[in-house]
Amino acid sequence: MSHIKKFNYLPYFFISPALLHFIIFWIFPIAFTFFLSFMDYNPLNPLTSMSYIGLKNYETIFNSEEFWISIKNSFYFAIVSQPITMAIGLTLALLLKDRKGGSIFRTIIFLPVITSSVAVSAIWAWMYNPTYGIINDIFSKIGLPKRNWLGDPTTALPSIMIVDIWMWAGYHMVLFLAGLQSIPPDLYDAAKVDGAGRLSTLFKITIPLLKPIILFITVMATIGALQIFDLVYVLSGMEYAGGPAMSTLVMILEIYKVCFRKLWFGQAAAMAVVFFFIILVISLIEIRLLRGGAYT
Amino acid sequence: MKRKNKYIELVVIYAVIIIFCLISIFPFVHMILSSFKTREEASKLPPTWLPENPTLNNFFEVWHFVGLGQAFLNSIVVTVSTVILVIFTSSLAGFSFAKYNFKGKNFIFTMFLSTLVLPPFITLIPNYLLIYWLGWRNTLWSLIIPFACSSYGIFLMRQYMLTIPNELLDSARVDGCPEHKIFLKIVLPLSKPALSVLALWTFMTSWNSFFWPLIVIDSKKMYTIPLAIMSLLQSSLQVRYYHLAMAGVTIATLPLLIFAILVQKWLIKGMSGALGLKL
Repeated sequence: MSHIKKFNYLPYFFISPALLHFIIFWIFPIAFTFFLSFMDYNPLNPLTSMSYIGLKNYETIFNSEEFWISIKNSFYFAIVSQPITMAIGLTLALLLKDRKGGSIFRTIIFLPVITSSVAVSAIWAWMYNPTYGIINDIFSKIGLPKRNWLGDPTTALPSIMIVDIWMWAGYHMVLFLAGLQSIPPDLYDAAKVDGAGRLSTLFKITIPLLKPIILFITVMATIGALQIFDLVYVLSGMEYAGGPAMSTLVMILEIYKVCFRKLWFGQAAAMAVVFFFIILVISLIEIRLLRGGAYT
Repeated sequence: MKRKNKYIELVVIYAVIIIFCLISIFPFVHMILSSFKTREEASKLPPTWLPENPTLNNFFEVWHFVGLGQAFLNSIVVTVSTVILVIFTSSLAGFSFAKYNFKGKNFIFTMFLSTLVLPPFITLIPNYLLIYWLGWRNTLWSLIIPFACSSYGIFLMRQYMLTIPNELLDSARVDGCPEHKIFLKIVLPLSKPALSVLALWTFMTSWNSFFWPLIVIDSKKMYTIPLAIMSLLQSSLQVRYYHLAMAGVTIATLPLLIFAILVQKWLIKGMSGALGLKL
């Protein structure tokens, strides 16, 4: 190009809408959450009533039982439901890869993923209904005791986990299928020529080559599971969410309640900050562990 | 012998797949069947599997009961506006990141990308306060503007636009084509596959969005579909109108489910796009 280059404002002009949005709805809010966590503030009062109270919010939440219960529940939820969802997703992907009629099966298993989480909760709430629900009907038909699934503190959270697994297994399946498709087929041919068995092919070729995708899914799924809200909120009874006996109180639900029910915005912000660091640390540990095991 | 083993194996594999399919589809079938039941039948013991006297009444009753018509309208307004805005901001920014060099480009792009892994709740409270101070609670603006831009969209568009050859753009420049026309007349039409993936993906997430609407909307008139389902469920829990609730959920989800099945291929491409795999 022969013309003299002036300062080119165009690229900045093109990213400006996105950048503006990013500053208003991401950068400013992140900073403000940290700021708010040192403040005492109730939005019903004027803004001027905001006052600095140091670490008091943190002190209060660390002394609150509900806060620790919510962390425990979220971890329980993530640690149990995530490996199961991933295992089912990977199994289905391996079974459906290059299978006749695979796309029909894939569509069916994918259905729950595209349904809204509230609709899913509504359907399952009806199935879990202790008196009229179909699940207890099946249980009594095969001779198992009926249960109050969502109303009993020991089964409430596991029942929600089942719904979560049911909902997201198809999503993991699709991601794994995409990953499997990216493995060059000649590798499998070579393994066959060498007389490798199916199990050793799976563990020596498929899984190592899927490692980047397994890493991606593990990190994203853990972040997602620790932030579960919709299913828990609706299935545990909306205005009574978190019950029975705090057995379904998860981290985001706790923020929601402290913030929008009790209107303790400073404390809710402090919780958000703590949860934020928890999720950050967990993701970093996972990346470390899984990267470390990679064959490269 | 070997052949027989293979046969058995195939049967087992298909059996496993079909069991998973049945588990996936059963709740939907149960929902649809329950929506045809009369009130008496829905509270009968033991519960029936198939409706004995199928009725369409529930659908008419529930439509007015929670104002599903209004909720559909609100959801459509919110979703369509969000999709248009996301397409606009993402394609422009993606174009800039893919086809220009400028100071701070990598830094800004990395910042955008980092929000993909940042938990969104860290921005929740200030965003709520912003909406509150603006007086936007109970307006559809509050459901549209905070979602007008998507880091995922920027990433997707950038990745796709990188595959468009620079020579094409340069030859247009030689012909005296201004930059905005290059974007509108060359790059945008060539990016149609990525644009449709992004549009569908945004449509789906916006349509199903629940947490944020729950916080900023209290007025029934502004309910979107997920909020309407929630309020339907709330009232039916009290009076045991599960047949009505299921009719409502059926109306609210079936059209979208059918639409989603039709465009499923594109939705799946959108998810693989999140992996940075080829579209």
